[in-house]
Amino acid sequence: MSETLDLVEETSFDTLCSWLKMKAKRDEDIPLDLNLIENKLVDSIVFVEFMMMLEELAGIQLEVNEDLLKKVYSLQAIKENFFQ
Amino acid sequence: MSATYGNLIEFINQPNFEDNDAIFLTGATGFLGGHFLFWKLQTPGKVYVLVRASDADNARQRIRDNLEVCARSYNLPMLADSVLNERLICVIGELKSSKLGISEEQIAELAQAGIREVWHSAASLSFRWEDKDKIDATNLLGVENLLELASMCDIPRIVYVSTAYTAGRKKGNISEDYHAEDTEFANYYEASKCAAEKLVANYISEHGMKSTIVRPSIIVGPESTQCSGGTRFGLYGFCQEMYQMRDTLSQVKKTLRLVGDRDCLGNFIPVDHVVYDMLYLKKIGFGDQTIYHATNPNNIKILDVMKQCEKHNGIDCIDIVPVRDGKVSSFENLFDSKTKFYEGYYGTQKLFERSLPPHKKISLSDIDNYVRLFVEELEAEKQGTIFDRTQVTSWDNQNITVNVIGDPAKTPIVIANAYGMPVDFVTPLARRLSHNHFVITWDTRWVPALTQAFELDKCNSLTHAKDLIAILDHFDLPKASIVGWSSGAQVCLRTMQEFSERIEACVLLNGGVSLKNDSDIPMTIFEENLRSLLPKISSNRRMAEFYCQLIYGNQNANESDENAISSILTSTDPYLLYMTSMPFRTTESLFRYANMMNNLFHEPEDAYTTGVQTRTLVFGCDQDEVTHPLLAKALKQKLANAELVIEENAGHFAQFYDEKVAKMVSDFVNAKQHLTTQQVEAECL
Repeated sequence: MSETLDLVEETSFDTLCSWLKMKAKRDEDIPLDLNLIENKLVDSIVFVEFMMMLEELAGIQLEVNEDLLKKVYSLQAIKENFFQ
Repeated sequence: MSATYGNLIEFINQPNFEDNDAIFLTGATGFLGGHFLFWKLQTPGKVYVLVRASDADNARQRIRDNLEVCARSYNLPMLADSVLNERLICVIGELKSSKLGISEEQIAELAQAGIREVWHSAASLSFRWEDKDKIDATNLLGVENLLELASMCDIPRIVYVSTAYTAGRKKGNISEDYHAEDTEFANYYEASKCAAEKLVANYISEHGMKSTIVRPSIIVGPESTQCSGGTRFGLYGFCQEMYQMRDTLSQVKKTLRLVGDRDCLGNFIPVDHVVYDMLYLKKIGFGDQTIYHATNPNNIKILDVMKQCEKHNGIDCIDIVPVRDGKVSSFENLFDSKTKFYEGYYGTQKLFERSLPPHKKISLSDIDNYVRLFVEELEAEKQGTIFDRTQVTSWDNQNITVNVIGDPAKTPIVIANAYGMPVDFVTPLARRLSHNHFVITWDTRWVPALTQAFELDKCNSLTHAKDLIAILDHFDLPKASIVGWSSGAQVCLRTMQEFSERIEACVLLNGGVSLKNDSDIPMTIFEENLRSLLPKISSNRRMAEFYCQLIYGNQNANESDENAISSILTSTDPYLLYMTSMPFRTTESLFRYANMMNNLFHEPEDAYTTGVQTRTLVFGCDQDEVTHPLLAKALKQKLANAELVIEENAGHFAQFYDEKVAKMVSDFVNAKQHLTTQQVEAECL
């Protein structure tokens, strides 16, 4: 059961990574520890859409508070905060 | 020398010139050239004026219109017809053509006219390095053509109006000499003017002619009235950019840093002082040197001037720094892109030498008044001196806010603004068109004003098309021509399909419509992102709230969060910020805007082009950051009776910045053979 859940969450996370890769028009995978904001992978429009994708794929509702940016600044942070 | 150096009223009443004197002038429809002509015509002698026009009447009217603007700026009456008839001779031609496009017969006439000088005041004011070819065509090739004509007509002297900023990035004392070959420039306008100075020098030495170069600093309006006098260049251009961005800039919590020298001094000279210098030089036979700075004896700290611009625009966020530490914010990128031209004013410290007698000093408080009056001028334009605002009851009893300008007896034009955009975006176009037309535009219902309840079931282009027809009914207009900008183009197409009998002609400016069955039309990144995001926001009001909280709702964010948010903004396209600053500002306006745009994205595959027979002009720009220029080509193909103009080196806001777009629209509506905006380009100093 746990393995199945992991598999589902891994797939959702991969979907998120693929979506961002497509949006950022990158050929190679995005390194998990890359700071998405500092490296300009998302602008304000794409960032909001990215958060929407995250909500949908992780089945959560995000709140804009002081912790949000810390939780989503990299794919690794997203994985740790929303997909484990 | 007159008793008071700089007093033009005294000057024109003195016997300084003779009746048999004649000059040839370019740039007379521009700012400095126009003011020079206004005063020169009040002294004896004929003035042959090069003017681009379709015929003699049009040429004379263009000159008259500009002279009236000049006269008003001094609170003086327009020159009498008798003066114009006696002294003003219009020569139709254009700088970029060989021999200025003037016929052999006219050249022979000029050669017999006893012209003593060519006064060259016309120039392209474009400044981007990427526009080099376009600028060269006017500022270098144009000078060559003019010199060739002067030589053919045995005109002994050329007076070239340059700029003090041909000094480029040079620091310190700037002498009245030619600049070194290795001079670096802040923009290509400066470079082209500097190259033209040398071009003139080389030509006259080869052809045994004489030359005088006048280099004005930053020209402001007349000293006596301190109004703008009709220009939007220099100080006014900078202040206007700030004015247009002030709502956006007021959202910025962090300092907006311009790179330059905080202690930089600017030199501001009233236009009538420059005209005086020019006429004085003529009176004294041009003296014993070639180059003269037309500058003021007082220099003013540019940062202080910027602070005054901020004060009168109600903002306080700008600073000048030697270098930007950390990331460059998106607002800084945006402001840079809008104000790059002015970098030459604050980039390096310059002190201009001047050999002509000194003018009265212009003080910081004078400049403060100039700026205050200019912002009032802009405000008056916005508040209703430009538009009369009225409420029109539309087809479903909703009140629509309608803005009109111009004489109701003239040919009507209705402008469909882009969805949700403030009227400011079409104000310059409306003002320019109002000279020849009765111009009507309206605020799209729901956004930008939020006073009406949002009705999702009516959220489609037909609602706006019916609003347009209701406006025609209100003004008892059986027919009108229509102009649509950006998404407003879809409203025009829908109106033409549903109410063809009410539409005379149509112009689509950088139309943002959905031709979905044509997969060959690429999308700009801007459009791609909007088409991806807005449907999601339209279906979920919380997402609109999420966006606004994230971008604008960070009032209590700590420093690290603020940096992160700033980083997000940094990566945002500056044009996107400009375009979206109004409808993206609140949750409600964003939600409404997202629905309006989402429904636009889902209009039928043909975007209501099928069956439209109305005469239509499709205008696209090759540098459009919002709607792809190939969309304009596709639109033209879909429409049965359409013409296409693709403008080079222009973007989505061409109708806002480029006055030639208004002429193109007017000519098309009046069924004249229209010129491309490049053909009608006549930017003048």
